[in-house]
Order: sequence, then C-alpha cells, then structure tokens
Amino acid sequence: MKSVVEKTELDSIASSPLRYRRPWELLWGNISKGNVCVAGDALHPMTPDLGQGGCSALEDGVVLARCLAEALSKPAGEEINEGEEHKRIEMGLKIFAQRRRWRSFDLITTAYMVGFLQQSSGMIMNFLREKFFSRFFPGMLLRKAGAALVSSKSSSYFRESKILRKMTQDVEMKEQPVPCNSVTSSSSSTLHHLKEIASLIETGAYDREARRILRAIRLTMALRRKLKVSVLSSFLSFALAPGSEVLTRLSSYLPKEDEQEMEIDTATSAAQPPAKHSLPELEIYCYLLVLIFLIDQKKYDEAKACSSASIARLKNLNRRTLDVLASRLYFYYSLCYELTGNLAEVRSNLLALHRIATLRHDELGQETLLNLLLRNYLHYNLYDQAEKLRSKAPRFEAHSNQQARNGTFCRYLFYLGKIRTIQLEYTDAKECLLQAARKAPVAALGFRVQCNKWAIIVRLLLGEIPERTVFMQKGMEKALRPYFELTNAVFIGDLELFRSVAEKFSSTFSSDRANNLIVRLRHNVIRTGLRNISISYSRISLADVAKKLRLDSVADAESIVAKAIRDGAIDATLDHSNQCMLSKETGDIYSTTEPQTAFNSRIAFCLNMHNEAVRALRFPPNSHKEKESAEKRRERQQQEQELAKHIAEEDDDEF
Amino acid sequence: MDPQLTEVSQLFERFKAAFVRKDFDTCTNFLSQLKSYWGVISSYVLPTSGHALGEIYEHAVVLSVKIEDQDAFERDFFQLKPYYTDVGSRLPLSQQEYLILGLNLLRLLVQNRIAEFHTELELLSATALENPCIKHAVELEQSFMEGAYNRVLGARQTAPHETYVYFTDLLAKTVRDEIAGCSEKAYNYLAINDARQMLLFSSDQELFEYCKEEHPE
Repeated sequence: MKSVVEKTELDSIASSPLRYRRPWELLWGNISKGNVCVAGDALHPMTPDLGQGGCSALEDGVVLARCLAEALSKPAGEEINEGEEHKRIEMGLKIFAQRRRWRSFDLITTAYMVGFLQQSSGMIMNFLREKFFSRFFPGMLLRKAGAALVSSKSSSYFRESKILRKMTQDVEMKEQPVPCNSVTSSSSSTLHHLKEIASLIETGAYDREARRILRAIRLTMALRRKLKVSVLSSFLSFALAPGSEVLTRLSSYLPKEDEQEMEIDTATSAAQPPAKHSLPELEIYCYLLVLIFLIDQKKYDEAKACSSASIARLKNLNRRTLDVLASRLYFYYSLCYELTGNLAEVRSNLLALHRIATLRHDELGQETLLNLLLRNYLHYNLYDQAEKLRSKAPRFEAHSNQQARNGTFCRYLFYLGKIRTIQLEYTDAKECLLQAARKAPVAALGFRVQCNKWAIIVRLLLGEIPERTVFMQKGMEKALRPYFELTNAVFIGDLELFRSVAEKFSSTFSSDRANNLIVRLRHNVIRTGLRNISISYSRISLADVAKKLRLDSVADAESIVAKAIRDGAIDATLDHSNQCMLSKETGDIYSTTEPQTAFNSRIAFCLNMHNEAVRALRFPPNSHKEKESAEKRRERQQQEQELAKHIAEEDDDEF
Repeated sequence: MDPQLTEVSQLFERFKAAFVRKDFDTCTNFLSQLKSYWGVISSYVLPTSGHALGEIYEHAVVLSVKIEDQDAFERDFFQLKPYYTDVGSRLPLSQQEYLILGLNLLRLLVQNRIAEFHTELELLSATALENPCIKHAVELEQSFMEGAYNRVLGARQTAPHETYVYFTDLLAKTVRDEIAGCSEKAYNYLAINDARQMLLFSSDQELFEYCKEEHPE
C-alpha cells in the first residue's frame, strides 16, 4: 500500500474541492419540471463523509424506476395517448421528487454534520467525539443509510438491504475491540500461524529483506509456549520435502507420542526427486524451531545433538538472508551446552564459526558469536583470554537502531564491564556497566539486576557511594539487599561491620563471582573510616586510630595513615615522636578548581549522549541513493506551490 | 620409542641431582637438553610422561628463581600453566603446584602488574586460596594496597618457602620507596632513629646512602 502511494506521480493526483447543495435549497427548488427531473448528484450533492453519495444515486434510480413504472402501468386493455402519457410521466416525476426530497435533505445534513464532527480539531469536539459519538454514531448512521430501502417494502431488493445490514454489523463489530485471535489454544491455529511464518520467511528470502525474517522470529517467540509435538511434526512435513534427510533427522529428535510412522531411510532411493524444493532458510528455521522446543522441554541431550547437526549444516551454506536465523541458532547451541555444563567443548567450534562469520562479513553473526565466546571465557573465569579475544576481534559500532542489535550490544557492554573490573580499570568498567543497565529492555530484569550489582561494586571501589534509589529500583530490592548492606558498611567505614556483612552474604557473593572484589573493598572501608576520623578530630593518637578502625597494630595504622596522606585522601600530618595525627583545616572549596571539573564532566556527558542519539537516528536504508538533480527539485517545488495555491483559493460555486 | 623415553628420564635424574647440589650451571645445561627432547616426548600422551613433563617444568621454574632470572621464570611458567588448568583434571595434583602458583603471584606483584595479579587470582578455586603459599601472596597484596608496609617488610619472616625469599627481597625494595614517599608527605619532622626503624635499615650509614641515592633533596 505504501509503495503504491510512494510511486504515484504527483501530477496524476487530482484534487478538487468538496461541494454540496445546501439542504434548504432542496426544499424550495424544483426537482422536476415537466418531464425532466434531476437525480443523483445533480439532485443532492453532499460531502463524502457518509459514503452515501453514490449509494443514494442508486437509490434514486430505483425509486425513479418504480415511480415511472407505477405511472405508466396500463390498466388492462387501455390505450394511453401521448398527452396522457406526458401527464403521467409528469405525475410520476412529481411523486419521485416528493419521495426523494426529504431523504436527500436528511442525507446532506447528516453528511455535513458528520464531516463537521470528525474534522474539527477543537478540544471540546475532540473529547466529545472520542468519548460519546464514536460509540453510537456509526451504527446510527448506517441504519440511516439502509433505512430508505428497508422502508420501501420491496422484497426483490431485500438482498441489497441485507448487504447493507451486514455492513452495519461489520462496522459495529469493528468498533468493539477485536480480540486478538492469534492466542487461541487450538493446535490447528498454531499450525496455521507457523505456516504463515514459513511463508513470511520465504518472501523474506526471495526479496532479501532481513526485516521479514526478524519479524518471523519475533512471531515464533510469541508462539513458543504453544508448541506441541503433533504441531511440530505436521509443520515439518509441510515445510520440508518429504523423505529428505533433514526431515528424518529432525523427526528423530522429536519424541514420538502417537506412534507416527517415520519416513523410511532414503539412502537407497536417492534417485527419487523431492516433491517440493525447500529453501535453506526454511530448513534452518525448522532446525531452530525443533531446538527451541527441545530446550523448553528440557531435553538437553537431544537439543545438543540437534544443534550440532544444525551448525554442521550451516557451515555449508553461505547466504546472507540466513544470518538472522544463524545467529539465533548459535545462541541456542551455546545455551544447551551451557545448561548441561559442557561449555568448554563448544569453544573451538565457536571460534571457528567466528572466523567464518568474519570472512563472510556477517556482522550479526560476528557480534553474536563474540558475545557467546566472551560468555564462555567468563564462565570459566578466563578473563585474560577473554580480553585478548576482545581486543583482537572486529569492533562493535553503537548502532542501536534495530531491536536485535540492542540486545547484543548490551550483553557486550556487560561482559566488557566485567573484564575491566577485574583488571582494575574501574572508570571504564563503571561506564560500560551503567550503559548496559540503561540500554537493557525493561523486561530483562535478571540481566539488569546483574549489571546493577556489578555497577554498585565498581562504584564502591571507585570511592563513591551509590544513592539509595539505586537499591530501590522496581523488582530489584530483594536481590540487591546484600549489596545495600555492604554499601552501608563501606559508608560508615566500620571494618567489623564489613567483615560480618561479607560473611553473612558470602554465598550470594560467591554465586555472583564477586568474592574477590568484595575483598578489595576492605581498603575502601579503611579509607572512609580514616576520612571520618580526620574530619572529626583535629588531633588524635595513633593508638586510638587503630582501635577505631579495628586494625591490628599501631604500626599498621601509622603506615596506612601515611599512605592515605600521600594519596591525598586525607589532609593531615603525622607526628611520629608523639604518635599522633594532626588534621589540617579544610579550605574553601570554591576557590579551587573542583567545581569547574565537576561541571565539566557533566557537560561532557550530556554532549556525548546527544551525539550518540543523533548517530542512532534511524534512516531508511536507501534514502541516500536517490539524489534529485537541482532541476528536478525546482520542478517539484513549483508543482507543489501551484497545488497549494489551487487549494487555497477555493471558489464558492453557486448552483 | 622407549629408549628415548628412558634417556630423557635418565637426564632428568642427573638434572635433579645437580639441582640438589646447587650446581646451577650444569642444571641449565641439562635443562636445555631436556627441552630439546620436548617435541619427541609430547607426542606420547602417556600419563606418566605428562607427569614427568610437568615436573621438568616445575624444576625449571624453581631453577629460574634460584638464578634470579625473571624472564626465564615467566617463560617456564607459561608453559607449565596448561598442565595445571587443562590437563590437571586428568593428572594427580603435583605437590608443588600451589608453591609455583604462589611464586607467580608474588612475581606479578613485584613487577607491579596488579591487573594480571587479580586476573590470575580469579582463576584460583576456593580451596587454592586456603593454601598458605597462596594466602601469603594475597595478604601481601592487600597490605601493599592498604598501605600497611610494615607488614610487608615483616613478611620476609613469614615466607612459607625458601624460594620466596628472592621475591620478598625485591618487594622490600619497592616498599621502601613507597614508605619514603609517604613519609615525605606525612611527617614534618622525623628523627633519624625513627626513619631507620621504619625503613628497616640496620644502620645509619645505609640510611644516609639511601637518602643520597633516591632523594637528593
């Protein structure tokens, strides 16, 4: 539809102003004069809002025919001479005029009112229109449309009124919210949807439109919960050539429920040509469908076998339209191995696939596989190797214009953040993790919780205290509770409390693999405690410091304080002979450049975000290809101006 | 190919003997000879030979510590690592594994490669962290970060193994620089005795020399 509109030339569109006859003119004016009468639009021009212009012209014709028939109907055996005939015709036309006058009046008025109501843009009108009129107007109007014929009591034209009534019903139904009929639980409709999806994939493959295949995958995800063995097997036999190797293999993965007969092995009858030529896309799609079904049913061993077979098949195919399906397959391949705990086996395969994807410039595949590999390495804590791979692999660009890419980018950021945290690059890590948490879709709660957990730890390690609102985010309160208490301990600067919290929640921390990071936090706790002390005391003995911080010895305290002074965390001096710490006075902060640097960082952040938003604007892929020449553009502009002028100066046509 | 294998094991025995005698030159000779057999041996994936290979490398690592060659240490350690990670599930744990791992951690600390230190730390399981060799290294790193340098200097006494001494000496040197830097900022006035005590010098003379070298001001 859109392409029809887009491809229409401007000069083939004709625009004419709306016209109608004022209703009262109908009442005064002559509809018939002698043996001439007006009918149709000549009789009752109206605005198009009711859609009855042509219909009432038909009505006119019918009524006119009837009137004339009545007028000219001969009583049996009588002759009508010319003069009488003329009179009869005149009478008939007068009756016609009588019948149509009020009907036309009604129609014109209603059409005008409807137009007025619908096209007005005042606030009150809008409100009334949406709330009240929309409920009963259409039905009322359509009954009006059908009224003329129903009231004429003509049985032979019953058909037309039935059509009109059906129209009314249809329209009325449309007014109620249409129940989404793709959520029925009958397996036949699921099969039907799968067939629709298959046709979608076919068209997508022929037109090389990745968008359609993406859409097909989205629809499949919606159907995921309703897949059953019977549905799957019937779909497989529909989509794949019967007797093909693929069909047998896939059917073997499905558990047999109804003792269905499998196709016997075709090795001997290799000469038999397949009845249907199945697209590779459909084949891969079938693999994907079966794989999803098996994973959902928790049949992991079959899933593993199925996914390995599909990967082997993919290596032989090299079509760009397969990329979207292939990346999904890779994901599920890795997932089923992860669920059975054999992730390391997959690593070499994934690396090989990544190489192939890079050779074929398959960007989506590259991104997905890189993420899967990083996940693989991080699962086994091999941060070093993960970083080496990531630094050598081709870069990600921050395209978030497609839904699919957004998810992979978020995952990539999360893994990158984790690597950076372990490597002690906290600033980078914080940026990555916070960005991942922000870009993640709201539905991905688990992922966001993990991002937030790591982000909190990184911020603590950087020396900042996350605000309370971070912990109170919707749905995350319980999961973030241990981290909340941890932050509390760091904030207060109490080493004992810190130790107890770390022990209390050690299981949570170790399952999040954050144990070592928590240990690193000890240093921050001491620092904060020290800072608090230096602010509150102008002079304090080192023994007291040791006691307050619960350090083991005074010598420890001395060196720790010395280091803190050197790092600029506190402003003080040590007096070794007296074994005490003297705090300095704090100066006026605004005389330093600190406010300026704080502003600077905020401004930089806002500008960055603006730049990224501009870059992420989505443009249709071919828009840069059609560049108009200057002449054509001038011509087009001229035409547009003329058109505008024409519409602007509307003549008031008198009838 | 048994004769080759026996030859290798003989060489290995002689190597170990020289090692005990602390005859490091002959040791290095033997080692290079052993390594030339490497390609031959590794084609047999026999459990015993794998074990032997691992042992050879462990000895190589310890040797490099003794001759104070850090690059050699790194090379040998990297070749040794796969034996602990990938093959480790099939071979029985070597006694020296934790020792070597701890040495490696210490080395990274001394060379100030803290990021790699932590990366390595992540690879260790919880049981490994309980081991005294490794625990020692971890605690050293913590004290170093917190600034409790006196603990670092005292670590020399608590080293679990004699091989650690080399690294702790190096560490002591680094720590001394740190302490000097901190004291500069922190103290307005410091008696010479106290300075000497903090920096763990045994005499004033050393202290003066140190000041002259490092801090001409």
